[in-house]
Amino acid sequence: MAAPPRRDAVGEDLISNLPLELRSAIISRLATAEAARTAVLSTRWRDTWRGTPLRLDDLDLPASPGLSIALATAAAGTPWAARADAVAVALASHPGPVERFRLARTTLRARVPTAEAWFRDLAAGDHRAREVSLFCPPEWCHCALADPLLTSPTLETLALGECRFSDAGAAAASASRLTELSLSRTHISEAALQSLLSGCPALRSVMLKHIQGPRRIHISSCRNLVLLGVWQYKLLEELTVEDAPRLERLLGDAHLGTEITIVGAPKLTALGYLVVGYRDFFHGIEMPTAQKKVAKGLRAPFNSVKVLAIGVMLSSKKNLESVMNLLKCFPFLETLHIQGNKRAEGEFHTIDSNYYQKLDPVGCMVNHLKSVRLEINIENQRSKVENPNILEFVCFLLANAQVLQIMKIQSSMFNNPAWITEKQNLLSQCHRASVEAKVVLEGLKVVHRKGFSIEDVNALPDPFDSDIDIMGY
Amino acid sequence: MAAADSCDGISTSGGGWEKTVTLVSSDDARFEVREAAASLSQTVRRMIRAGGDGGIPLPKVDARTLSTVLEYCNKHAAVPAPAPESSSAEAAAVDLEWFDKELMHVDLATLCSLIRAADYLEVAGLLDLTCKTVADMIKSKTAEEIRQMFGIQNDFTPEEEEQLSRENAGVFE
Repeated sequence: MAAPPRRDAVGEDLISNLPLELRSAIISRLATAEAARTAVLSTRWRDTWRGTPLRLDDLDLPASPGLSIALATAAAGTPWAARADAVAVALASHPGPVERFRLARTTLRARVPTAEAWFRDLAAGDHRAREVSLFCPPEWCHCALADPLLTSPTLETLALGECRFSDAGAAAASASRLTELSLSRTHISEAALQSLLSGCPALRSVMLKHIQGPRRIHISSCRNLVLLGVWQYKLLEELTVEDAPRLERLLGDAHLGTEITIVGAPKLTALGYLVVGYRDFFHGIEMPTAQKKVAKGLRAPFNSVKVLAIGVMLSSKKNLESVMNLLKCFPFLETLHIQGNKRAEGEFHTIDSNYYQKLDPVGCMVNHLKSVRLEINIENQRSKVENPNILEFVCFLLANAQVLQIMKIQSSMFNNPAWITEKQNLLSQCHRASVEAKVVLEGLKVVHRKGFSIEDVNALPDPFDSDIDIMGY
Repeated sequence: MAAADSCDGISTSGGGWEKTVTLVSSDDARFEVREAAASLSQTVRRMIRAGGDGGIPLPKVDARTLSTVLEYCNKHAAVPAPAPESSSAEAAAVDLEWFDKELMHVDLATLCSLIRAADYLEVAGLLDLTCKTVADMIKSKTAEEIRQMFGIQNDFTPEEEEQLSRENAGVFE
């Protein structure tokens, strides 16, 4: 090929003379739109753009797609397809591979077959990807079949909304590099979930949010799993975790009607929220050392757990008993988070202090409990009736926790000075078993209502004491 | 710079004694550096492990560039392990940021040499810093402004140019 006349450069263009991988290193530090624009500078920069793995994020794509797309859309009469078409054009404009593929504002509604073709291409085609994340509202995925992604040899991060996996697709799962998986309302059967997990042995984080199908979740032999999140609440009958030697955190909103079995997770240190008060079954828990599997409820004891979060309405004696029994399952607990009274209760049963005097000491409280955070959200602040059980409970903890260092009470009443004074007076009369125990009254923490990433959670020293709402997630 | 063997030592301000290595630039200048600082370069780290006498030869880096790279390494290796949320850690981070910014006040030729050196020596932090610096220069400029700044010749044939504008029209912006 004869060189065009302008092609021999004067030799001063030091940046263009850098090797392609270094030019690539430069443009990969630009936003995708900026990086794409460098393709028009010269042939070298065009080759640089094409040789740099694509980062496609629909937030970087034009809010109002190009004219030709708009025209095509008008012709097809499907306005909601415009964004998906813009994604298709952007994907086709680059030869691949793909560093990441993120959709946050694109619905697949009118383009499900196209999306399924993307998944095949992103899994093993020219555009094979390291990350595929569908962050858009889950229902925007319109049950697109995502099976091909499970066989990707390159995929490391996968986040899906309401897509679906077939049993056969999950059985063929072999994404050997997949470390982070997040499924929101994804359709997957119980068996398919198990084959998916065993086909992807590198998984470090798994987040399951209202996945459609399983009433039992069985996590077995995920030997690299560090973080597990399960937000299924009432949908879940069983949660079993077996042989997870690296598991450190189990987050979610499991109510105690769920049968939770955790064995072979020696590094599990943080657990919660466990929700008390919906319907509770504590068979067998009176004898925490009993090794037989309980019919419903937790299998105890959890010797490794140091941080526990409970959601409870401290409005009845039964709930309090549940909390006490629950605490007995965690003999080495150091940090306790309690989120209480989310709803204003019509009635409650006052628990007199005699109740506490009759209680046996709870192991963790006597020897290990250092920090308690009690979150009380009273919706009707004008209500004169305040649940006295909370104060009794606080006094009980103060009187028995011998190594307690801090008791934080976070309340929506914090903007009321009279309330603070009253509580301070009452609390100053409580006996304290630990001389070091400090009581702090403060306002409710500000939480993100939005979802969070696996990275966010992993970076937190204590996921429950942060600006992420683990319970309401 | 005094000649030294690749495994020597210097006394530190704290009265301690730190292991040093000697690096030799392409133009035969010798630099005696703390091993902890030199080890920010994965290339040097591997050569230290491999052993050998008479200094570590770095035939692709000249003395001027190497001294800047080592300035970076010395500063960044001096930072103690960060204690999160402590005010001193925060101050150290701010100080480092300032240092990095000052270090990047160089001409384009030096910047390019630093990028090549950081790549060859595998100093990840410096490669990131230098590439980001160039990326920041590119940011929010028109194609013509970028060409002028770097002296880039537009070497597309008219056909190529037309094809490119057709392909890229409206895709990412």
